Amino acid sequence: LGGLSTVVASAVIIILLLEVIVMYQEAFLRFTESMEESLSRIAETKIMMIKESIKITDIVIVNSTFLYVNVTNNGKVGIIARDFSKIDVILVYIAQVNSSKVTLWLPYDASMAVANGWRVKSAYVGSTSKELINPINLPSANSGIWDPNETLQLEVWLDSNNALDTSEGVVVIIVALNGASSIYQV
Amino acid sequence: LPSSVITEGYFIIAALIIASVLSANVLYSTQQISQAYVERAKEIKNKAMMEVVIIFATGSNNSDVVYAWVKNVGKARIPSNLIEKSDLFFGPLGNFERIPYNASSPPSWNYTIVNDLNSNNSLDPQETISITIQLSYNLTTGDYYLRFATYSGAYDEYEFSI
Repeated sequence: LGGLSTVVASAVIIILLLEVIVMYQEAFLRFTESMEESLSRIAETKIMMIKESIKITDIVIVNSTFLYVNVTNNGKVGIIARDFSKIDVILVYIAQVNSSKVTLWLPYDASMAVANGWRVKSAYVGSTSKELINPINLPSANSGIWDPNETLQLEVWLDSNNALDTSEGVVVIIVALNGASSIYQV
Repeated sequence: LPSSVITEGYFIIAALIIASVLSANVLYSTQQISQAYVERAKEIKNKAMMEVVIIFATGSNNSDVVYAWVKNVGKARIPSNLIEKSDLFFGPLGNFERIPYNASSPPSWNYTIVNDLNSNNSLDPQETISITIQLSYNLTTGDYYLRFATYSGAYDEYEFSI
């Protein structure tokens, strides 16, 4: 039995050290995995932000409660039609009723059931041609993609309580899914 | 039995007891450190996935109300109880103050999710909240500053003029 206690104690300490090393390695691996995932998520978000771009090209005020807005996807990625409800449309104008400044966030509603809202009337490429790639099923917009270089004509409507003073002009702000925005004033 | 064998036996038992106590302590500490690493990684990941932009903010002269719209452009969902934990700062440029959420008297801010598409009462990625800031004073001509920071520290700033 001579020296057995030393052997046993050494063995226990070596096992202990190995276990500690394994635990540290495991924690380190989990940490780096998590960091890697975070970095790739950040990159993914930033890439989408860089690739996404829209531009309002025209606003036509039809009357005090109805206007058309043309907006072009001049980015590198398409926007799925089913995600139109995630697009923000904000209107700033002078109210007809009391000449005060009004700012309205408008919901997307393909069925035009809400009092104030917007939907897509048509989609085209260039000045006249219809879109041939991933056509958007209008007016429901339940399928299709708003591809790069395609222009949407939006219908924007207001109820009579929110009618705008057509002589004062209007500002439209549109923000796409990942934050790309465009502002236009007439 | 020779006395040296008995002594060795005692040493073995003592060594085992000491090693057990030591290993328990070291393993516990290692586990704690490992857990701390994992928690920190989770925090960093959560923060990395959180991103918001103030898409528009406005107010009118002689009005004590400011409206702002904030969009979640990150990858993480923000539940309503955590939206309330966001920090909002507003005021004239260079003289802004922290506005408390849902205070009984102005200044105070409140919000509604304007496009809660799945009706889960959370600010999901690509959804937007409309924020109403009730001030204790009327806005006058000048430049104003707004900052919205989520509970994890992700924030955006916006300036506008009246």
